[in-house]
Amino acid sequence: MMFLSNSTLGEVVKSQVEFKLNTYMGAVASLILVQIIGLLFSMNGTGSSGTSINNISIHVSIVSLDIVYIFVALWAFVIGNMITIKTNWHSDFSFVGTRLSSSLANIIVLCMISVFAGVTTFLSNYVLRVILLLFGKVDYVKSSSIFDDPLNSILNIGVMIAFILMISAIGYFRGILVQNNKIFTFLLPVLLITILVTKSGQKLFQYVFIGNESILILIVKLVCISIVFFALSILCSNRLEVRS
Amino acid sequence: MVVIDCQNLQKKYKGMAALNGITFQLEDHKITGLIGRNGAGKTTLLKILAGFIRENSGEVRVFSNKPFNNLRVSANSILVDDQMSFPDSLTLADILEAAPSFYKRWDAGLAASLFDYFRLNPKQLHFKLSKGAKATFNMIFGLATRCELTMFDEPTNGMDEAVRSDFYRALLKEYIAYPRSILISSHHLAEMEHLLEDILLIHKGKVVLHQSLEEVKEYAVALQGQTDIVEKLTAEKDVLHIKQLDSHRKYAVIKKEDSLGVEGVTIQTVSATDVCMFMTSERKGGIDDVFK
Amino acid sequence: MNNWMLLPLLGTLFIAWLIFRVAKSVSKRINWNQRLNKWTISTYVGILLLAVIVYEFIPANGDEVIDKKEYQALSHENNLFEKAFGNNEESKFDSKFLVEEWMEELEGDTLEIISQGSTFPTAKLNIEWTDSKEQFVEVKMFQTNILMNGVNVTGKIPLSTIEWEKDQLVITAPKAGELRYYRFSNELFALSIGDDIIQNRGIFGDTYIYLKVPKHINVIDKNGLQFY
Repeated sequence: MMFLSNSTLGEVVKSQVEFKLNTYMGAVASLILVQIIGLLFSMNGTGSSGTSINNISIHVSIVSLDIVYIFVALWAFVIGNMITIKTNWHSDFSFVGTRLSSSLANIIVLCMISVFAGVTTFLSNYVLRVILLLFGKVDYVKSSSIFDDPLNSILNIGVMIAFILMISAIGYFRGILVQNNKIFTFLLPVLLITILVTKSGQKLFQYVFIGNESILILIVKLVCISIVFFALSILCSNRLEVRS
Repeated sequence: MVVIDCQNLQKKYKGMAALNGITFQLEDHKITGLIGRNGAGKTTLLKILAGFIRENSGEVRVFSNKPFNNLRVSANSILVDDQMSFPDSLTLADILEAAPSFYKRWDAGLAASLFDYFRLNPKQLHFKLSKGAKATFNMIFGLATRCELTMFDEPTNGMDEAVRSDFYRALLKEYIAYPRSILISSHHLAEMEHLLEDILLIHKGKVVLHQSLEEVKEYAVALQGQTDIVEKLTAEKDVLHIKQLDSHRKYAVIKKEDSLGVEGVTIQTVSATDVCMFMTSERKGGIDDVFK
Repeated sequence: MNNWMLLPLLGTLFIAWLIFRVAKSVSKRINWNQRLNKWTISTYVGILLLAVIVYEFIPANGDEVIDKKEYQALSHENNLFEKAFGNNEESKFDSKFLVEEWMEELEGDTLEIISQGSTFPTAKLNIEWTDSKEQFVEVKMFQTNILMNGVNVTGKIPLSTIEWEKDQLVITAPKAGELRYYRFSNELFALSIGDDIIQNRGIFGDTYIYLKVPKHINVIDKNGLQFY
């Protein structure tokens, strides 16, 4: 008599998510390094502008999240990509799982990592604030903190999370394509540059990123793009062969 | 109860046929040896059964399901081979800790005691293991899952002699204590003959033989004697192997039949290993033909 | 968007990519275990949260960044003042801009206005002629709002000093100096939404000197401070 264990998709995905979170703990820890490098680069301020009034030159250095964010965005791309490399993709098949469950678990993990990355990136600015103010001898202006403007802060965190998610989704999609066929390693950068250079490509970029009426609309757009890339990844990975 | 059902299974790699119409059925709770030469298609077949790769044509059913992308098959089967991979960031202990949430019948006790017995280092990373240690760990992992269908692809590659015999012994004890269907591939039948019940012999992507070990042992006989007598006896028969021993004596292997008693010819039994070898060799005379 | 704008972007990406490659090869050699990872992550999160709280308690020594409505109001005030100043409508001057006022008695019939200490005039001057037959000149000094990148620095900028020396009004520009501020932003520069970007907000107010001079006095304005 055979005793077959039955697992539902939900159970397997849950186990895989837990497993992957454990697996990628090191990758998440590397985010800290990335943020610290970014913070070092933003020490001098992202935007600095000065003017002279009454012989007094006034410099205002704006320390924003941008530099840290560029680094984190790249990191997100690398992470999205890393999840698809052979050892990681194949390990799923040493345990219980199908391509669908693996994809779903990967997507959930990327969502969780994006949330973590978005929130910590936002907060990392405060470390810089404290360091610059306690150890620097510069006047500073009380800028709005999380407590002064919670709604706006949450929206800003939201847009950062959504953007990181989108980048990681693109990285993930790229990784899956490369797993399907190595030719995409070269094809995709060429494609990207072509899009960036052509007029219609630029229009598309402008439509998505520039001229949004509110942050909320931008968030919705970014999430939609992420969903598209994730869906494409699921489709492309569903026929992917393992250990071949 | 049928565990595996393959009908005319075909798989091509870059135009080359790896499987060329495999048809067989596997009953539950048996240890079956998947025997074949290098390149016979053993690995391809196992990967299809495990749902790793997809067949080009034909039918394959494991637990009555198509294995590719099937959760039920995945939950109840495991393929242990040297390509088995685990995340680079996890130690062996981490991997064993993660397994029970996937395999409901995971035997942590067995895993732990085998782990100790083979003196593996729990803090070691899987990708840094030596070939033999990796094979040993993978084998422990495969046994501890207690999957209804447990498949090993060349499991003893890289293991030293002592570990090999330990492995076969552990496999047999586990099988007796918790019966399951075990499919174990090797091109080296002799060393695991003692634990097999059935033999599935494949050659050039086709099933040549699927019988119990006892039947395989009885499958053929060898005739040895004067050349002319042997040639006369084997004239109308399917000769599996033929060899000129010296100027006037010949050795021939044919399918076993009754009443072969002829004077001047001795009849010998043929081991299962030899049967498999003769049935899958390209030329009747073996390597000797090359040097004629 | 110009195609050439891509170059610095690609350069940045390339540098970042290099950093990643190095980090990757380094991380392969270091054998981090999971417990160390967990510990690192939770410590980092702890530091982040601590920083948020500590930041709240650090006293600021600059003026608040103002919100959009406040900014528009300040800008409007400046415009109104400038208009009124040019039109000699003293009654419309906003008294909050007044820095000081006084009377000075002239000895002769000429008033010379001298600006020194700066190649550019550091104050705007306007004269209202009065019918008075006396020798008194009334001086009023104003400074309008100054905003840099949303930082209100109105009170922080030293004003030109005004001295009288024998019928000469000497306006001396303050010594060269520097004001440096840090302003922190919760937002992404790159994703600043809409046309109102706080970083771009600037109101460049001025020092205004308003003189009330009797008509019979002759004013010499060598440096051309008098715009109107």
